[in-house]
Amino acid sequence: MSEGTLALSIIFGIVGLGSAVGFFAGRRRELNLEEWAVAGRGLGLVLVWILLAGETFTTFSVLGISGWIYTKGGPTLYVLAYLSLGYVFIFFFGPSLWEVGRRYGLQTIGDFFAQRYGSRLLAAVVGIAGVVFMVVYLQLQLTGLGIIVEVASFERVGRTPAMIVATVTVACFVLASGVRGVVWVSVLKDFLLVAVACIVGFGLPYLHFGGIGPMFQALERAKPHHLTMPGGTRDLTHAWFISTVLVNSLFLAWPHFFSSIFTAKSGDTVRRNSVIMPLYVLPLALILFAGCAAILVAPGLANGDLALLTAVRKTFSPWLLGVIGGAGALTAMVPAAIHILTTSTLIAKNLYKPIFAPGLSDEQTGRVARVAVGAITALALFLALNSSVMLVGLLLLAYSGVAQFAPGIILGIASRRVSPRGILAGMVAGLSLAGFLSFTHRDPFLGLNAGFIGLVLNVALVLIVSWAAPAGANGFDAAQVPNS
Amino acid sequence: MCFSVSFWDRVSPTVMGIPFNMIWMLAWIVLTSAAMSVAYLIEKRR
Repeated sequence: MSEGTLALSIIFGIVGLGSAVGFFAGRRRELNLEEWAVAGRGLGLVLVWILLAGETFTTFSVLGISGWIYTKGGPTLYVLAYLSLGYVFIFFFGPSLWEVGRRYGLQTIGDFFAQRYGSRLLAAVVGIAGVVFMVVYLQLQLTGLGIIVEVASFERVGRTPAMIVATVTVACFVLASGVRGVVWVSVLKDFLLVAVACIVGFGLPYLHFGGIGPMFQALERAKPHHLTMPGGTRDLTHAWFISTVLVNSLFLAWPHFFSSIFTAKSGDTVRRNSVIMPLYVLPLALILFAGCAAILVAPGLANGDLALLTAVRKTFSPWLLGVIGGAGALTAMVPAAIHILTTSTLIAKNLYKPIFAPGLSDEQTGRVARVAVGAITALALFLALNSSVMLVGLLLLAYSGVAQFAPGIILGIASRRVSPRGILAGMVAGLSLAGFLSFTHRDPFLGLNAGFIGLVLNVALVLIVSWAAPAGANGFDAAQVPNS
Repeated sequence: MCFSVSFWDRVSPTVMGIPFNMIWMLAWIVLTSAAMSVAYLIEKRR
């Protein structure tokens, strides 16, 4: 068997196994919208942990982080910082979020804004912006998957067919099993990915340099300032680091992350999860080590995203590349599935239903959501195959953009004084400013992350407008469970 | 903590061969978890 065929059959074996798990996970349950979108609020500590880990550990964690340390160096450390800081926010606000979610039957971030602020306009703005950010993030996963499968199969499978096959498979198991299917695929994926991280994180330094210490010494000699900030960049300084960590740590505002809090069976499950989740960031350090090794093992690559895979291909035998290819494909498919699921629920519940068909029953809404799965999948696939400047701009905006939802979420829980108008004004202004800076390539601006500047304006407007025009009714005071 | 970046963003001293800024970040990941588990236990007792 040639090396390409061997690697390719392992990739297919792993993806096939993962997809089978996804299909059968939801088979014994009646799949109503509640079960489909938030697993009937019944997941325990371990399964929630795996779901959150599945969302955090994406293709970006593997290709992106190793690519960043390869091209940019030191600034990459922001990833380790924002992930752990983000779970501190979940520790404080997660249980209250879960509680209002259960009391009012919330399934999406749009539901939250509609219930808390009683404003359909606000819910629609969150819905539309959320859908846009989710779709560009989804296409990023698909692009990553294409790269992984192409390189790992020794170019035996092209990017385009790999993306098409994987995307259709993902859409099918999302339709068949909902979020529960995603969790069980994630079990397989996490197991493989941690194994792969250990092999490449220790293997590359030891095989090429005789250890992690000697590798860093060699790197320090070859590129003296690469491992501290701003490393290989001009403008990613300490101010950028601090502002970026703060903005990205608000990842609880990502619509898919927000919804996955509701899958837990209790608020205590959410809190205990936030205690242990930072530890799951530790394997990322191994990916960083592997990326550092790649700087010397596979020098001179124009595209940093290929650094890790190229170094692995130069070092290990084809079967391991097959395992990495398979694990990498699942690493793209799990978040992709969650994104498809959340986006289609957002469209059905928070855009289609309130605007076009207010009388829709839950069962009908579920049917609309399933139609939306097809539409979203096709759109993301189209975007992944036809990348554009617009898309790159939107991607840069995605993290800074979702952070603009955070004041509405956190202040909505923690304070009774904030008003719908204040939140709306702040959010629109924050999104516009961050968007303007990203699209005109002014990010970082004055050394600070564009999302951070948007967020400062956002919070300032929320406070000023809420003070000038005091809040009316708080939707979380209502005893009744409306529209569900 | 937030503004301490310029103090720890350095390669030496290395710990177990790992540059200081990396080991600093890794240490804080473990400390974050530890601090939250202490907070969790204290809240639980009340």
